[in-house]
Amino acid sequence: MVHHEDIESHVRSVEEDVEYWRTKRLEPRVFRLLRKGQITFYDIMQASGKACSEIEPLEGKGNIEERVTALELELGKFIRSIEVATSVIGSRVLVEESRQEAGVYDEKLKLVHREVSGKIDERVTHLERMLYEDLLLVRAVLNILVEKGLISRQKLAEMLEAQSPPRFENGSKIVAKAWLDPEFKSRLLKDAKGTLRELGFALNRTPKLVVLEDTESVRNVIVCTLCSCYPYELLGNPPWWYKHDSYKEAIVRNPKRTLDEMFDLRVPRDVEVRVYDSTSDIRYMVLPRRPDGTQEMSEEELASFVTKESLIGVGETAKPEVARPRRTC
Amino acid sequence: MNQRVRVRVENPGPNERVPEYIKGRVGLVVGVHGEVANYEHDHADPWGPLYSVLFEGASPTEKVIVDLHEPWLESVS
Repeated sequence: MVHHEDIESHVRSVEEDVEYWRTKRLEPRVFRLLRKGQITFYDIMQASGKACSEIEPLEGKGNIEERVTALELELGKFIRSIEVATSVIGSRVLVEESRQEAGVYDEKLKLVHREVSGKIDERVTHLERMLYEDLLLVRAVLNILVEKGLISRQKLAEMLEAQSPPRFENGSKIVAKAWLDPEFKSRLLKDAKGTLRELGFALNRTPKLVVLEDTESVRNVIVCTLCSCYPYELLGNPPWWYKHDSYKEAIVRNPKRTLDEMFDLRVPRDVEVRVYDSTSDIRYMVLPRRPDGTQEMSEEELASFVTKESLIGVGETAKPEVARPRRTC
Repeated sequence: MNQRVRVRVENPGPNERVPEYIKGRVGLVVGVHGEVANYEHDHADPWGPLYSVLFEGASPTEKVIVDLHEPWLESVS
């Protein structure tokens, strides 16, 4: 069973994400545009010069963990750029055709994934280079769309900057509020989406949200074994291990053993663990128990004790006596 | 609520996806959600009323809850 802090697996997961977005979402769309004559190879060559001056190579500074965090941030920007390009081109038309272009229905059209091998720091260096090249391509495509008048440079800048992507801090704020306000908590547990709409969370792409309350005798854990559904709109991107087969397979078959081996979380014998597998239209979030020693604290202070792991159910909230590990997404 | 149900092994459609590990197993309905408003990115057609079904896990204090649409469930006495 892989450990949630296993850096090798984490790097491999980032590699897979980069390749997924390149081979399933970006390049098939570019091919389609080329096939339809809506852009030409020459357009891409022309646009690449400007793109080179706009995109900096990834720095590769710091230790491996820091570089992987930086890669994930850039990956987020890469994904955002692809989504903006897609919406400008017109996504409804393209979903099925992208799948065809991506070789989903035809082995012959499948794009080969780039090989990343060697020791871990070589692989991270290689990954930094690969992602940089992909960022150049999407930047070139966006520049072409501006040149062709499909979007103004101003509007493009706005869309790329657009509301900062959701992060798990949204979840922390909601948890802190629920800890302080029993009435809010009760409404949250009964109708999460309705209650959160009042706080300004539209959650338009979340069909139904259910918040699971941890108690002295029950701990909740979430997973999506069929794909990787997650309350993205509320919590941002899931941690790399959430999408890993190792987690998906183990957590439903041996919940307590998985929590122990993957997350160093030992659940007492008499405490019940409930694993929620979001196999359909419902998304889940855990409401962890409020740590002791937090009376008199403000909502903001309370929120700082909520960890991403506690919202998924695989880790504890931070405790007041111990220095709080402030993890970045 | 609290109805015992068995998960079908054969795909009844329209929702094709159900985890292998619960096919053929018997569980308890613990959540009734009705027809959840369509999520246009995932499925255009309605999939039938949705239920949360609880299954026994590896030990008496481990449970797994899976969300399943009605066509996949048959009642058990």
